[in-house]
Amino acid sequence: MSSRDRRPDGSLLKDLLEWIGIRGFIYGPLERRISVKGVLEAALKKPIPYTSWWSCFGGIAFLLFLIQAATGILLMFFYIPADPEAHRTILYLAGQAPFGWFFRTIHYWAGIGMMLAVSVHVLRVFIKGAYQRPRDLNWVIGSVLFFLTAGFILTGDLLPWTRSAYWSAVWWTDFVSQFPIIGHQIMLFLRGGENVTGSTITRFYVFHVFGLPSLMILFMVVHFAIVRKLGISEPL
Amino acid sequence: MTTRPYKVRKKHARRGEQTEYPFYPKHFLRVLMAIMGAVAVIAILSALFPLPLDHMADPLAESDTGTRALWILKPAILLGDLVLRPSLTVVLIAIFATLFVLLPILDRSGQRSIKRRALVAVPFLLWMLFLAWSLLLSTGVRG
Repeated sequence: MSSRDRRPDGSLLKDLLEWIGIRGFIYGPLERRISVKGVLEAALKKPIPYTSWWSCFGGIAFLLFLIQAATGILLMFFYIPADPEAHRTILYLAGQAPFGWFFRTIHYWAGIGMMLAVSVHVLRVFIKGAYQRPRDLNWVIGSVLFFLTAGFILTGDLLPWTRSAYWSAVWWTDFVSQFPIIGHQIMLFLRGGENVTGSTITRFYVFHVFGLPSLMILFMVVHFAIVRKLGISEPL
Repeated sequence: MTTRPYKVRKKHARRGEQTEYPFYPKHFLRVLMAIMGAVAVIAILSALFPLPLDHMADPLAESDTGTRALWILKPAILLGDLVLRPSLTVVLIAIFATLFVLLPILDRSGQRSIKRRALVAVPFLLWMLFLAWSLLLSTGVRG
């Protein structure tokens, strides 16, 4: 720390305490380099139109995504995506791992909550007509996010490798195969073969923990950047 | 915070007063409260309704009797029951999904009032009603 940074009335001890504190050690260098205060002030003081509680569902969906990510990472410590280990590890999680049942249940309910929050958010945007220019691209990105959320539920359901999950996966992958021309190829890609087997679990696991989250984060960044640029839509 | 925003805005506009306000603190705190409410609901649901674990899957089993369909699939199952042909059902769903994504291209009227967008609003709201109805109606139990 140079003498220039010291306040005229401050002692060396006071400067040292400030430097080793959170304010000095983390905030100070950041502030000097990227002006955190200016960025935060610009974000927090940005004028927005009068909003209602319905405007909160986008934020709720994002928070539930973060909860999904956090609990999902905890579940990954125990889970093995193979037949029959998938079901055994879930049994271990639900019965023996500390708070395993709780994190698994939170992961499940937060998934449903996220789908619900995204649906209400979409409905609000539709009713307000906020999908029209200049927010048309954001509607397209948002609707892709809606389908990605559904993709999380579809792929995550098979991972515990239960009877119901197995037959649901059989049903919907078979349903997809009915699509003309490319349906069968899509089914083979999803299942990793003609039938739903251990390799399907591995594929769904990769989609669930890597493919879909990567796409989700990418689209969310663009979605938020456009909201930031254009602002919240005016009330009707 | 409970006042209806568009009414407040009109009232303020009539008086020539400010129609916008900074993101912080009002909207920020509102979103924060909504988020905390959502977290509380998730935590309570998780504590009260632990997730049951079904029997292990058996790929050699020939029957799906007694298993439960994933809730998100219920609209597609119900639509399949109504349309009867699976290939037509999957094409219909793909068409709906495409129209949903491309909505801003279909509706370029520039009208924001839902009454003036009836051509788009009625099918969309009917589709949403069908989704809600199928989710609530079907138990999803097979066999």
